Amino acid sequence: MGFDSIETVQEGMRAQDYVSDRALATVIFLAMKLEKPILLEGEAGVGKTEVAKVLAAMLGAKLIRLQCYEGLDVNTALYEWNFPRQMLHIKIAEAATSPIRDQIEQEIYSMQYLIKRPLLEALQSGVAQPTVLLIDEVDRSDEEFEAFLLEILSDFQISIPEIGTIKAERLPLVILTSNRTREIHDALKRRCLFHWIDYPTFDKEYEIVRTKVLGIEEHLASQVCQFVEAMRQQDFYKRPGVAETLDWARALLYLGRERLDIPTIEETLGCVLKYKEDIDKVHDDLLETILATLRT
Amino acid sequence: MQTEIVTDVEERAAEVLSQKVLEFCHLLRANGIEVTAGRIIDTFRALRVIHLFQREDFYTLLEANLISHAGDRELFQQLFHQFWRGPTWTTVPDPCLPAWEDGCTLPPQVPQQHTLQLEKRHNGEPDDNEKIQQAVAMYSPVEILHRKDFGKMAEQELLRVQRLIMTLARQMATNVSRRKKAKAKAPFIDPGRTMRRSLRYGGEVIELLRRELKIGKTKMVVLCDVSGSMECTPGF
Repeated sequence: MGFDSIETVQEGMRAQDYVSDRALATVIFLAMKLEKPILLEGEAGVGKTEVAKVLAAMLGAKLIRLQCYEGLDVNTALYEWNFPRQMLHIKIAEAATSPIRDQIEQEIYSMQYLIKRPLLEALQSGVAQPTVLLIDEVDRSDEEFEAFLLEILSDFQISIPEIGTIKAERLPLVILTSNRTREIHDALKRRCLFHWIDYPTFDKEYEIVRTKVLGIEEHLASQVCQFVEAMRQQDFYKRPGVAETLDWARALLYLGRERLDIPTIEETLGCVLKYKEDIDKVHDDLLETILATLRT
Repeated sequence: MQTEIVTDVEERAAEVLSQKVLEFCHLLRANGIEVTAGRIIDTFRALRVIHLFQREDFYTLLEANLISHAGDRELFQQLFHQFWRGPTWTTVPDPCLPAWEDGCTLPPQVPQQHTLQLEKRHNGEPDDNEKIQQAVAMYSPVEILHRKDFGKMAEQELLRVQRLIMTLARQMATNVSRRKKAKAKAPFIDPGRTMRRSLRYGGEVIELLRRELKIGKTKMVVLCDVSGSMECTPGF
């Protein structure tokens, strides 16, 4: 995985339409050089998952994604024996003349009866093509699974009792993301380079909108970014992230709006706020106040 | 000759920087940020990767390696800007930079007597509060938090309390019952359902059905004492 400076990482991300600040580029550069996983934390919708996708595109790597959820276990994340197929094999072997017991056992516990899940797939991906392993929303998984991840991320190898130890020939670039619904265990954090992705500044968000929403007018893009920035100052249950800004900008573009006004905002507020309680808090006075502060 | 001097200067600069980074790690520790030996080693590995860096890169490098809690970021930022505020010529003898042609040699390295605390923010003498703190023989965060007014808690203390509550909440929320429920990916095999299912296939066990322990609902009794004897405790 070759990027020889922070600048080249930043340029590479920019080429993939990802507007990154230097700090994020530095962490990615370090992760590639030190072969350490990155733990990205930040509010929902600030572009954590996108980092992995962009990196995979940048490096020409295979992206393997493991979406975490409560109850996620080793069978779903690592590997599982294909039990019905094994049974079928036994039946066929039994029907054949003089089956050799040891041989059958050897056959049914071979790689062809193993269902590979994302982590095993990432460990086994070849030397030729780099791999980016995205472990998304790790905070939603259980602590037991975290402990298991710790083992994988330490040695990049696993032991399957029936087959033996499988070690990664080429270490994947691992990106873990967390929305901080709970704290990740320190032991896991210690294995990673930590980076917090904050809400972008106005300038950065404006650049993102102009890059991602093709055809949007400068004036509208500026108004959208300023408005969202002002909305983030309000006491909402879920503040709008960059994803919401982009959705909103696209919606306004498709509706053919050229500037923000109260009726337009009210019609499209669902793109920005995703909770009824938050939408209820938005009233005309607040919108007028925010609109009055928008710079031209 | 000039190349040798440059190499010496570089080595010396790297040495001084390493020492300062180590001091900074100790400073973070002294301020409650958990900095393990492994993290320090990783930091030094990272420093070798980035040879010429900007201050911003250096900040990111240290932050990425030395902290892992979003709540520590603010404290880290403060300590970083206080600690790395510029060259400290008076305390650390830096490599001499005068004319190369005069053949100047590097000054001998003075053993540092740097305390790991920041230079006192009040220009020298500790204030009264610090004197009182120094007089306390033992320190236990748990005992202090037992009697702490939530309203007066600093952000770091609130974070610690939050972590304690989250630990407690997780334990309560994951209290395992003795009862079991059916689940596809679970550790325990359910013999009854497996046998019943096998009847579909002429008694052959094709599929192993599983079950897992249920999470029990923790019953809580919250006692709110609003009598006069509780006046001394903070109101919510």
